Amino acid sequence: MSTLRSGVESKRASRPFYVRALLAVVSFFRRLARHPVSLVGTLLVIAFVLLALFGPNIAPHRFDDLIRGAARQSPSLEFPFGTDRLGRDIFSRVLWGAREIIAIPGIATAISVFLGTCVGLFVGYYGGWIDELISRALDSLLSIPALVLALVMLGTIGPSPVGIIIVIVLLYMPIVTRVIRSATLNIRNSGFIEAAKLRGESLPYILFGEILPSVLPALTVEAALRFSYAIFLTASLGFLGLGVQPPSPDWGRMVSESRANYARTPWELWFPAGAIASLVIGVNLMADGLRRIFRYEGQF
Amino acid sequence: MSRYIVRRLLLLAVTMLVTSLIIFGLTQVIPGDVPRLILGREAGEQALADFRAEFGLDDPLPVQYVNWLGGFVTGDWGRSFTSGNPAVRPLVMERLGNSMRLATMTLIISVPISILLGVLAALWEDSWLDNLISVLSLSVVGLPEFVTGLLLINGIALGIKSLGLPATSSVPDGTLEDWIRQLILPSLTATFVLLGYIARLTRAGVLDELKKPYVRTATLKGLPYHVVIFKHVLRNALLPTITVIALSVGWLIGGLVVIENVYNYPGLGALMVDAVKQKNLLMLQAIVMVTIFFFALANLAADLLYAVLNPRIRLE
Amino acid sequence: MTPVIEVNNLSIDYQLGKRWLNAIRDVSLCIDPFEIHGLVGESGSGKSTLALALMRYLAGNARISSGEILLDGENLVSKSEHEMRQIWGKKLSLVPQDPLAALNPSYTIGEQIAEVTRLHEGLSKQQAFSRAVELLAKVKIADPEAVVRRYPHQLSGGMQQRVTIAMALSTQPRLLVLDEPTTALDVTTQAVILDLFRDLIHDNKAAALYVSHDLGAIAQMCDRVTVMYGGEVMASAPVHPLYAAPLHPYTMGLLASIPRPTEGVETRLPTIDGVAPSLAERPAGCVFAPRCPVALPICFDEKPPLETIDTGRMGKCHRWREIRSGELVMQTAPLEKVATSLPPDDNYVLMAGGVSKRFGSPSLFRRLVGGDSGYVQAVDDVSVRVRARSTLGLVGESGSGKTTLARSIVALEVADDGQMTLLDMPIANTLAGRSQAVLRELQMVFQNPNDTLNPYQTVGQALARTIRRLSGRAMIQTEIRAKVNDLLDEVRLTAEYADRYPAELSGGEKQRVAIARAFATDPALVIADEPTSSLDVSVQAVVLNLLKDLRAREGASYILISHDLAAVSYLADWIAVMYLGQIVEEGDTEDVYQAPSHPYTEALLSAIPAPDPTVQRGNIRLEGDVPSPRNVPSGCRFHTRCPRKIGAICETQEPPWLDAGGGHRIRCHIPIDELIAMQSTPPDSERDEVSL
Ligand code: SF4
Ligand code: SF4
Repeated sequence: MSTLRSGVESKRASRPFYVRALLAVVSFFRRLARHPVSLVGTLLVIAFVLLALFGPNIAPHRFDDLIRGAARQSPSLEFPFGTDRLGRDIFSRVLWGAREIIAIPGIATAISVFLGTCVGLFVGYYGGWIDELISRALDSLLSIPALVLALVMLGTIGPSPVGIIIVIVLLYMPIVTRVIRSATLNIRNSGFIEAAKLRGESLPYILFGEILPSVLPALTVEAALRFSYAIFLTASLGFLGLGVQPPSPDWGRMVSESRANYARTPWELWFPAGAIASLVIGVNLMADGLRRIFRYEGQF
Repeated sequence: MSRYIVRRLLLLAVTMLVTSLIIFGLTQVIPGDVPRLILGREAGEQALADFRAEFGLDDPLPVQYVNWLGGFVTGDWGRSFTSGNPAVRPLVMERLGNSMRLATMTLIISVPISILLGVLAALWEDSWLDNLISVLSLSVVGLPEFVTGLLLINGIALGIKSLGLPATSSVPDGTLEDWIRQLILPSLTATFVLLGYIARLTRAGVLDELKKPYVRTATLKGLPYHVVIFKHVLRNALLPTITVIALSVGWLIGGLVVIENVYNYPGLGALMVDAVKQKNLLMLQAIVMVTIFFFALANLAADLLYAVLNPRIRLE
Repeated sequence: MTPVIEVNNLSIDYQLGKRWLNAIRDVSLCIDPFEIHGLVGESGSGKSTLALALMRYLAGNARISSGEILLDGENLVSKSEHEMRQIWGKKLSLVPQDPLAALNPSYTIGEQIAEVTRLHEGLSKQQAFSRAVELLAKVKIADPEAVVRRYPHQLSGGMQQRVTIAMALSTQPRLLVLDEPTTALDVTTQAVILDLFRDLIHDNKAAALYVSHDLGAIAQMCDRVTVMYGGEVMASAPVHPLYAAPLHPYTMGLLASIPRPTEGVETRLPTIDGVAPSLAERPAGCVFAPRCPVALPICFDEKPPLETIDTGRMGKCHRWREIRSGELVMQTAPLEKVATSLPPDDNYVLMAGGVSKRFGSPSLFRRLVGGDSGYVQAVDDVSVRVRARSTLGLVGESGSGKTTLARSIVALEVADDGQMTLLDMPIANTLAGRSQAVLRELQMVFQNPNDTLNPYQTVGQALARTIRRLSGRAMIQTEIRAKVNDLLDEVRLTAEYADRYPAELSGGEKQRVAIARAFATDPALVIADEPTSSLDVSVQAVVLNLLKDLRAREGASYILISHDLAAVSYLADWIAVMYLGQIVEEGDTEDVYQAPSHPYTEALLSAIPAPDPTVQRGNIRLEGDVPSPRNVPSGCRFHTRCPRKIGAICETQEPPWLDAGGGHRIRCHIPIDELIAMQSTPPDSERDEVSL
């Protein structure tokens, strides 16, 4: 229970907020360092996020620059990831693509987690027929396989960033809700919640002031996991040709398009594929590290 | 117990009904004039009207829904919008059979391996073996199927030519050899996805049970270690694993879209991608309904299996 | 006589991170044949670790760092795990603490018992099963043929514990280790099980180590007792001298801090201040020194040796000679306290009439499909009144509805029926319907100290929030801070505690903060739901004293809920006994303790093990289990278990309230004078001889 703040154990609440925040971050990394693999994962994720932010600024070329006379170059100092048959720099394309593969799942995850937390806290705390109704509805939604629902939805609303985000939210919000609901159920009958009721606290205060801090470990781990699955899904949709449409570079689509040219330009396939793989693995390792730190044994 | 089964069956029916509504609703919002899309720009007004009449697209939505659902239940799944308007059901059924072949192969490969890895990791908790299994499973569970699939194709099928494995898989003929040759790579790809998941769950399950006091009781009875583990611990620890395996069957039937695409395997998932791209409404609805049915069935099987193996539920 | 087991200078270390911490230090112990040896200590004393280590069973991160364990002269320390498996279950058996968790949920009772005899005695499957049936019959399980085919979860707690003892005795072990075997049981069930255990152990000529925190159970069960504290043996002695004339300051303090019934409402319990040291911060000298009221400077520097005082009696204290000679006297009798409070007056703080609460509204699915209602009538038409500055004690076993009644009063449960008035004003049954003013007057202290405070708020934040919410006026920061400090002071915690998080507090400290929180609004009525049930005896005394002081100082009233009649009678002046959702007897504390009593109260009192081996317990035992509240028996609810049942009338007609004078009421068909007559001469209970 006390894991979130045990890093600032002996430090007192009277310290200014920013000092405590800093101490918490430091202790987070110190504890992460006990599991080197998780640390590597976390650093990988941070690196990718930086790429997403600044990738286009540091990329040597634009994603659609056709560099004259440089078609089908194998990786070299000038073109670290090589070029494709049109003479586009793969390195630049991967850098440009980072933004979408992180922003779309990132935004979608944030929305899912936010909505899922609100609904999960509410139904978990409130219980009764509302809980039963919403849980059943979410169960129905969950009874449709993820990719199937995604295909149908994207087939209907058309492949666009917003469409993908809606799909991901619809898919993952119920899962987050479930996790938060069960975490809430565990503590809704605790003495401290009942004490809050006895002093006439409002519903929002009980949900966000009393319960939320206790479900934060579950929430953090779940958010990291959802992020990883969202990247996975976005990349898969791109691969199937249902992701973000051309000409903007989508890692999944890059992989799919490069298959035809594999015999002549294998690097065209391996670099975007490697980028996806290392990003997802990084997020997974980070999630695992979080789970260890919080000693949270949720579903994985 | 019988009440439990009735309850679960009822729930299955309700779920199917609700999801059929969702699916029907979703497919209705497909933008654009479907007949126009299908028949092309040159089609005359008369042809469009005929098309609408033939597929009942002029009826009010509730009527369409009831007709469609009624037809679905009685086995009349309608006709495809594609040229020649073949009946949907045989097409879907054929693909379903193919998907089941692949699912079977995958289960045969993945279940024993992943349970074994999970149990080993738990029994040697925090050893190098545990850490290795943990990092491996975390890595493969995160790799999109098209990455692992392409890796296998280019690394094994094309890389080690002497194995004679095809880069694209077709439906195996009856022989065992052909089964293995055609399906080993796609099943391995699916195994990668399942492996980490099942192994981690098994590990967590075993660790959970090992902490329980009844394990101490069993040990202090003087039972040999292997009896304590196999008879007492695994009997309880594998319960959640069994549930997850049953659930993954649903995923294997309709969810292997990417793998089927990578290997060009004619399964249900591949058909669905085509249907989406062609806006082939009735086909899409049929596929989705079949998939969901299997998903729900797998859910039901998982629950029942769990109840049968768990006296605390069976004897309620 | 060679002892069955002899432990010499045993030390056990635990690995925490990279350090090895000493958990058990230099313990010696010896158990003779046929002896039941008690091992008593508070939480963290290492008694369970020692008990399991005696069987050479250690946690994964523990090791025996020195010493020897001799079982019939054979040293177990040097044995391999493989060799131990020949001994476990055959010569050494464990009766575990929580029987449900200790039995494998997926196998039948028969299978799990048969396993032992098949392994160690080579019985065939058939033989082992019929043996299991015999064993179950010997632990007095009715219908053993049916029970062997049941699964653990289908049995009641008392039955499960009988199964584990049948299992433990199936191979005629040399030594039986009983690890808090009755902690999870109700007191009436515990009484039956303790009788059974004692008879079985004696009849089997086994030796036993009985581990418990309950000085009462130890006194009634054991021949000799070893007292542990902080991983060390403090004292060891035959049971009679240990209780009659303890020679160790810790033992003396422990015995003195047990509340005893009817010792007068105006007394305070002697306490042991402070908390037991954690593994990492055990003192270098005497482990008890920081809390010892008679510690000398030498106690902090030098560990006293474990000395033999006279035959069979050992002590570990620098000052045992002074204590024995009477030079050093410790305060062990309850302290008289000057009454600072006004006596209870006849104004009622709270009146609750006809309160009913049932649970289990059918689920959405049930409602659609139909089927049985599945209601549980937890509280059935109960009326209680609490006078100003007094304490109502609500007593009953689990399932009696006492907690539900209390929660309905504070509106944490919404009563289905009933009227309540607080300070002569009618109040709503729902929280939403109650004004701030009402909330302020009604506060509650919860049972579990570990979830009573939000782990993410400091003590100060928790108290300040309550003050601000219910003070009814705007307050400035410094004013609130001052009030927080006052409150902490009231519960004898320093102002530093305001900045601590709950994880940094001990159980007793958390409960004190919870009490401070309840008093933050100067309430008229505080409801305390088993406030001490999860605390150690020495800590319980502190909390009970505190509640008593606050009542005197603040003029508040309490409703005290407990299964422990002794703790209740220490605080309460009025007691209501509940059974299956109804009050069966109520009256002045003194009156309830004396004849006439309701047959259920009589059984409850008889079941409490007195912390004194010379006091014979009453011999009224309740057979069977409490009926399910889903299916309340007709007529008198108690008729299925009542030892005084007079006939068909008990099964068909609800008993009337009988007036025993002074407001003392009993709900029974037996007339008052007959009750008095029969309760002064208890019936001969014919207990069958149990043998195995
Ligand atoms: S040795 Fe000293 S501190 Fe320890 S119990 Fe004896 S008198 Fe108290
Ligand atoms: S009414 Fe009958 S059954 Fe009930 S307590 Fe009295 S004697 Fe016992």
